[in-house]
Amino acid sequence: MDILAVSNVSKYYGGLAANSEVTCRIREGEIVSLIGPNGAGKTTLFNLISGMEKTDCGTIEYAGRDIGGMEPPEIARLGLVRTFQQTKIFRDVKVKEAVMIGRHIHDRTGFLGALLSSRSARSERRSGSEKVSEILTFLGMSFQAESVARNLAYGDQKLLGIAISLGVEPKLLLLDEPAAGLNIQESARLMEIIRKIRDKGITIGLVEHNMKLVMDISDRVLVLNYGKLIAEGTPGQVRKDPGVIEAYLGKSGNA
Amino acid sequence: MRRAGLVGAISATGLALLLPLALTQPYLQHLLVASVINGILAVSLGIVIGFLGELSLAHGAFYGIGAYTSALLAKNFGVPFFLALPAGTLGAALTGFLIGIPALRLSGHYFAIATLGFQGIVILLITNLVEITRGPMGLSGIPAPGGINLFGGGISFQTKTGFYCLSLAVLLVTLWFTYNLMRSKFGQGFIAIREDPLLAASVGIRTKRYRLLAFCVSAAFAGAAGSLYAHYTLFISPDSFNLGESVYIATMVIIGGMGTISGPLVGAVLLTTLPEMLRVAGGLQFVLYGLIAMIVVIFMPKGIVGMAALYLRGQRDARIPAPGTTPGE
Amino acid sequence: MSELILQQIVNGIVLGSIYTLVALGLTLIYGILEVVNFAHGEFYMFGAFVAFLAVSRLGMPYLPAIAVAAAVSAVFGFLVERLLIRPLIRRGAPPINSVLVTVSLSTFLIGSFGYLFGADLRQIPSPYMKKVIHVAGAFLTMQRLLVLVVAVLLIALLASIVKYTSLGKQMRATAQNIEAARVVGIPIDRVFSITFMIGAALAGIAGGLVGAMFVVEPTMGLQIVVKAFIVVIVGGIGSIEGSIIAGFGLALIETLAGALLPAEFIDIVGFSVMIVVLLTKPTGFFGVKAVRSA
Repeated sequence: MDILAVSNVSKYYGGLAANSEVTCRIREGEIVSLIGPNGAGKTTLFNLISGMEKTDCGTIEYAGRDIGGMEPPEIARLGLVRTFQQTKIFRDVKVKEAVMIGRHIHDRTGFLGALLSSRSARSERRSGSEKVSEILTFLGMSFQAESVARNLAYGDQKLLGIAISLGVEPKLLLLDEPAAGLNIQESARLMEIIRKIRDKGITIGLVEHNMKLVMDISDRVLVLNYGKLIAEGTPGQVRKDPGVIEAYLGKSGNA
Repeated sequence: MRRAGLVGAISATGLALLLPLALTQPYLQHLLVASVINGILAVSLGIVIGFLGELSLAHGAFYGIGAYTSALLAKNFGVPFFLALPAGTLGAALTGFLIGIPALRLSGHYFAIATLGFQGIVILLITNLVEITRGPMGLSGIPAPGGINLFGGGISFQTKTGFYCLSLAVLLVTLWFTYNLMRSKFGQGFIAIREDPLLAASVGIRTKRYRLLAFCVSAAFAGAAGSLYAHYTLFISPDSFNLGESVYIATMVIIGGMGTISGPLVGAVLLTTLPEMLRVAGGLQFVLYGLIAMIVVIFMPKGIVGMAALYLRGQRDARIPAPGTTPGE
Repeated sequence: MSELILQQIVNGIVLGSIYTLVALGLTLIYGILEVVNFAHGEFYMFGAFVAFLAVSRLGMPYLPAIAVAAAVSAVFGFLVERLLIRPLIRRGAPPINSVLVTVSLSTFLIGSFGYLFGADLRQIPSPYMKKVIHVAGAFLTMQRLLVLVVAVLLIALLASIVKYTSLGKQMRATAQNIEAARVVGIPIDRVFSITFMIGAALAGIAGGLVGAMFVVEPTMGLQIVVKAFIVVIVGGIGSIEGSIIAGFGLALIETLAGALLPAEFIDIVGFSVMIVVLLTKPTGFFGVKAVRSA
């Protein structure tokens, strides 16, 4: 069952095609990676899917629904959540508060209830806290619950970004370069975590440059170059694809 | 921790109620009322400045709409005060909604400038719809609220002390609502939007709706303050609600401390009573306000309340270092 | 009838000169420093008071007094930039802080001048107020002509500096992209200071010119700065041509419509146009800065 179907999507900036007639799909329960040289249009595609930018043509369907014109908060509320390339976290709050913000949409308190601090408002807050602890435990971050986000080590901050998006209870999680800047141990830990997330039933899309991570963890790999989808298949297939090799190594064989 | 806050709040309220007994001169009692009304204005503006992180220069306009709505209903249609106040509040909230929808599409400088424009338009309308508002000549003969019978005794709202209790009640409601709102998911949403609007949107926070909500709530309380003001001074004119007033309230929030609920209240009380405490007048108080505000923005953005909190935390940390932690962590 | 229209046009051009001079400083400061100077009207007021003092206390003739007003305003602008704005920029504080500090500065200045000079009405004595000339049926005092001449000269001077000098090139580069300008070695600090000085001087000169025609008093900057904002937004942040066109345009609309409609409704028109522009094309008609919105 396709959880995401991208059909003929294009996005132009000025005369330049950042994405050109991209068609691809992600099946439920998969881990799909999107790779390509710098500037290939990977983050643009994520931006289009998550609603931060509007397509110039083509459709994007999530769980069978056309999400083309929707605003990012609405798309997130449907269960499609993305993280950001630049580590985005709520810097000045504690880790547990940041994840609590991620859980925002699950707090059903109404405006009047909030104004009057009704019993339901308070119980919503309590159950939210429990869920937050679960997420932190799941990611091995419980001991950092009280730390202020800006004080975390870089690798932990990236993990916090993932924790925040898990708060939303996504069905499809798009991770934008989660391994950027991570060392070998941190990358290994990330791989573990991505697998654990998938095991919980969450479909995962990744934009990544770390090839070892991509090849080890992905069920399928999509390759973009100059805005076009040039290859698609299992890691093994894509690794051997001549078009892909050329895209990365260049015609004259420069790395 | 929460118990301490509650105890503190109750004691502060008790103290506030006792003040009129100690300060018996009419002018000082007037200052009490003025402090409370300014407190409501500052706390409500604080929601926008501190929690949304935007400067609204339209607060004077909402204050004025509340005042005129309430005054006109009471004077021309005999609406009793206890209905006129909510009407003023609603009128201001509605204006906030109308202004907020276009203005909140912008942020930062552009938002501030847009609110500047709306502030100007509202005051111009009030000034020029002379048949309704009597324009620059002002609206007089506003009926004062009567009084209530409480626990067998009566409180007349036509005395300064009585009106002070009335305003204090409104202030307490404002504080309580604001406190609850900030602790709720809405307050959390406001803070998330202020810290990182993109990230907030990506976890499903409907930034547009929330900003509009905060703006309307802020405007509503300003309207309530306006109604109180109108039925206290019994005469209002557009000059009390102009850009200068908006800036004055903003200065209270800045000095007292943005991002907290008590900060703006402290700022309001300070700026209202400072001229009397320092015996300054003739415009000199604005010199001080402006100077202090500039210093606060540059050196202590958390304002007086923020500095106090830091100081207290420092004291506490110095006294009781927890084992294994670095002092001041 | 046509004489009335001509008179209004002449008045409009003079008014436009003032709007443009004040707006130019505001638009440059925002375009280059990305700071909205809510105290800009007070630079105007400051210049008017300096000119007034130069003439009435120091006995200077009018024109040199204007030059003194320009110089002292420039120094004042330098101090404001260095003491108030620079620390915020250096700290990377969010934009609201520069708004808050300039708003506070405005309160401080109005309060200070109110306290120092009180509520007396004063006007700068100028010999040009007495002579009147006729231009094709319209009347102008020499003072008004002076305003026009000074404005045209200053606008031309500013445009030449921006277009032809290396300083101008630096200003344009900084307006485009502060970081890039810093990286290629442009002395950003100096550009910031000079921009503020130019802006303050222009506003101060305008104040000195107007102060001979109307009253010099501490709140005189408030009405003008609101007009300046309208001009800057409509003309476009950071655009000199935009300020010129919008400045004269707004003034002409006001004076021509003022013959037909009551003055207060003209103000509403100005505000409304500004808001419409903010919502539809926030960069204004000629501006280049992108909007940062939620």
